[in-house]
Amino acid sequence: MRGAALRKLALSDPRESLKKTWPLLFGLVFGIATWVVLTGFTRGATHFVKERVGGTLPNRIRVSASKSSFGPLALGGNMTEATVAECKKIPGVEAVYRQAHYPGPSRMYAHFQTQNMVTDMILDGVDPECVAEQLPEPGKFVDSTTPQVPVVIPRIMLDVLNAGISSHTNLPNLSEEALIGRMFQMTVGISSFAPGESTNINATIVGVSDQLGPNGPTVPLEWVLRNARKPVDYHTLTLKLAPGADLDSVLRETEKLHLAAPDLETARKVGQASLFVQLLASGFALAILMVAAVGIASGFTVKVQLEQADIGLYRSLGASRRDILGLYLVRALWLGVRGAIMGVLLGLFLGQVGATLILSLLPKALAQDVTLFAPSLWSLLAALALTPLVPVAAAWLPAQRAASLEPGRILRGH
Amino acid sequence: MGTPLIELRQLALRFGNTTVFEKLDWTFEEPCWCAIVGPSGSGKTSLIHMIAGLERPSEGQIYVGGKSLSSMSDEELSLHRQKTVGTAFQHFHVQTDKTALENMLLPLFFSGADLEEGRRRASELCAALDLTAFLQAPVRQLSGGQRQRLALARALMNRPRILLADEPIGNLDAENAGRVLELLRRERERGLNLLVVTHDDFLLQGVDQVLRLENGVLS
Repeated sequence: MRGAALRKLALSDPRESLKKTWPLLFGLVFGIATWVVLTGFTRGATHFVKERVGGTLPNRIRVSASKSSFGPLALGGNMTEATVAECKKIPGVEAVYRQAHYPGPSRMYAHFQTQNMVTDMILDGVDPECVAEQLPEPGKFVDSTTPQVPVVIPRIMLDVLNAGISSHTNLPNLSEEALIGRMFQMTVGISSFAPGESTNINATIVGVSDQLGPNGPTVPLEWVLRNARKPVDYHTLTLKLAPGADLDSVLRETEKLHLAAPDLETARKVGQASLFVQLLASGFALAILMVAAVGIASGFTVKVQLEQADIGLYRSLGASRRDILGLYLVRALWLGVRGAIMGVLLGLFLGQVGATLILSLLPKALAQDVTLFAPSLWSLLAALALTPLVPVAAAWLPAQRAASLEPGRILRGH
Repeated sequence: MGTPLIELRQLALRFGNTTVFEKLDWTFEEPCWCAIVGPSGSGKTSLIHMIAGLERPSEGQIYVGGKSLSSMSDEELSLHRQKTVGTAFQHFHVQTDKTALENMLLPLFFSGADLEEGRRRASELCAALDLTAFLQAPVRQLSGGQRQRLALARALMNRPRILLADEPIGNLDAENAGRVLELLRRERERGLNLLVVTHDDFLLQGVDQVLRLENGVLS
């Protein structure tokens, strides 16, 4: 009861109003808001990059025989059915999906709005099960012996395409829905630089998938195997892990087969970079909080100096040294609580406004379903829990000085 | 004979090389209704502060109810100021940014007494001192005399055993001085002891004993 009364006395003081304490609050609010904004953007951007690199389906690893695979630029040896069989034996691997380039170039002819496009590219093939979960009608992505071939567009290709559209034209971005059902022609087997025997196909887009890596339009693998004029090797295998499978042990087994997981490696590096940036952001925010703490310490020193008469009065009315210490520390704690809440709210507001602004500058299709600003709940809770300790620590010495003042001397002086 | 109310033993007060008093011995027995007079600088206010445990003597001991103040811890001294003594200062020491009631309730925040009961006590004291109309008024709006009565009422809030008052009616007219004296008499009936520093004849006539502190001697 006494504690509650003292808290009431400490906080009901008109000198503790927001109007009077804002100069001390400013640094705290600024520091916390900065931290929330920086870590929120880092986390959001990391999530965005990882999703773009590794895809959104869980429990999948893409492996290849080379450490870096950029579609047609995949370096190193390719994989055969023997590698697929070895991968299937790995404990924890539920299924293995193959992905291969058509062994030869292709030309694509497309028409978009008023524009005609002709480009050389590499045609890819994939086991339909690899992308089935992401297609609106998976049954349409099957091998066909007719010239009408279903095609899935890699998500990253759509992003690049839209970036190009935004940069060079005034045309609207292509959405996934807008692409599905569209048709284009391909001449498979030749390019601008390599004439020869070719096959003409009418491709129909049946979906967009983020499971294909940075490759070209992708048809069912069986079509590639059936129509290839040269032997086909696989450049990527997607391992679907069984529920509860140990990722690290699967990776150790794939290493024994001289296979690397470049996407996973990239995601890990992005994660490490993100952690580093978050540490930097925390350091920056901490530096601001330190400056704020120095300001608070000075503010409380002045406060104690100005309130000496009150301290003397309180002591004469029965306050102990501990009560005086408590009064100032409760005030400091309240300052910290207000600073933390205001800082977090300001940070969330600025982050959200910033993210909206940035996303409005990005191509619409690229910005779709993207959370650029994603502060973690735990970091917000940590800010709310730990920030109040900053002013308490800063006010400790001035509060001790207040508690050690001799009441008789102060009262005589006033 | 019981334990003396206040005992001063070989008490000395010095400021640097200046000795205000030394070897001061006196025993105040209960019931005590006593005034201390003396010229300025004779150490009257300091003596009040020492008995309140607000200042430490340069030498000697003060016993209140048989307990030595110098051997008390800070917490014990705080308890002494909460329960045993109430102090009304010459310069009032009221908080001008608070209301009269908030000022009166201040001692209760430290003693942990019930605030509702405190409000009743405040009303009772204010009624006796003609302050009821100003209970919710900010102290900055009160006159010097009103502030003085408020400071006295605050000193009585915790129903102390001893009231230490430094010129408690110095700013008051005869009517209000009478109200103060009447209140003190009523409090005396419930066991209050009074040690007052004053030069006011009106108050001096109302006490049982007048002591003179002059040239370091209490007589």
